[in-house]
Amino acid sequence: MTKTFTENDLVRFLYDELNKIEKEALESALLTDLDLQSELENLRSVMKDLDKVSYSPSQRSVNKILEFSKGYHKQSV
Amino acid sequence: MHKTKLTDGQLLSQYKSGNEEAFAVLLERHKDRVFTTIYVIVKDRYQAEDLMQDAFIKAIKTIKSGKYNEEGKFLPWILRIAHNLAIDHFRKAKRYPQIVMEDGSSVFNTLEFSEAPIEDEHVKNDTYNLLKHYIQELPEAQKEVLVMRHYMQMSFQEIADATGVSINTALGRMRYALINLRKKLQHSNIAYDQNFYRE
Repeated sequence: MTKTFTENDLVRFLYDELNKIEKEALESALLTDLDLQSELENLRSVMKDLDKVSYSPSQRSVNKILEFSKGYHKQSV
Repeated sequence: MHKTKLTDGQLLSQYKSGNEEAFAVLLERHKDRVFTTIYVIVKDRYQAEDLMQDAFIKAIKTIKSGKYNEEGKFLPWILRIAHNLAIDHFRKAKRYPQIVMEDGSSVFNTLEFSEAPIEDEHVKNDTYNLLKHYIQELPEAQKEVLVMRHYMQMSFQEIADATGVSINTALGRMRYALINLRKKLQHSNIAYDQNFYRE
């Protein structure tokens, strides 16, 4: 019997949350289902872009945290 | 000098023994991830800087008082602290609206940051800056799941439990968030191409 996969299944697949049987079934379906392949690639491309989205705090904030850590150590001795 | 990269657990052990340099390495390793998680939620660099300091100060107090008991899971732990602080701030900000400028931005965003990252200063139109902008435009429920799954690495079941919705709802929100971002990026690429080829 052929299982129909939903877009939610694709999201779970991309975040590695399918169990082994589900994962193998989806991978098998991807071999023949071009629409499913296309949908997966669309979602995967956004995820790759999301991986590169990063904000950096100022060095001033980093220094304040380091200073607090050193000071807190002294207080607790 | 040894080149072996120490794990978070090893660094924490050294930090507990009084090695401040070990904490500096931990902070350097995870500061961007923690800051990104906060900034995506509060949308305000000034507040995000403060909240990131609060998150790490809370962690320092817990570790140095001997109450830290999440061996080997430092990043998920500090991300949870950061997320909770950001959500608390977000809820308070909703009750006590900030002073906003004519363009709708927070008055705090007009403050100068001498060490503002390059992406804010120079590159305005690349994919990642557009994506940052589009993430902020997502409906709050979608953005919350996106942050929790993609940046905090919580499972969809954990997100469902934390937000009081079913796992299918959490999955659906994530799916819509990804689809929305994809559409917006595609739309902006088309607009960019049309401008590029215009005579």
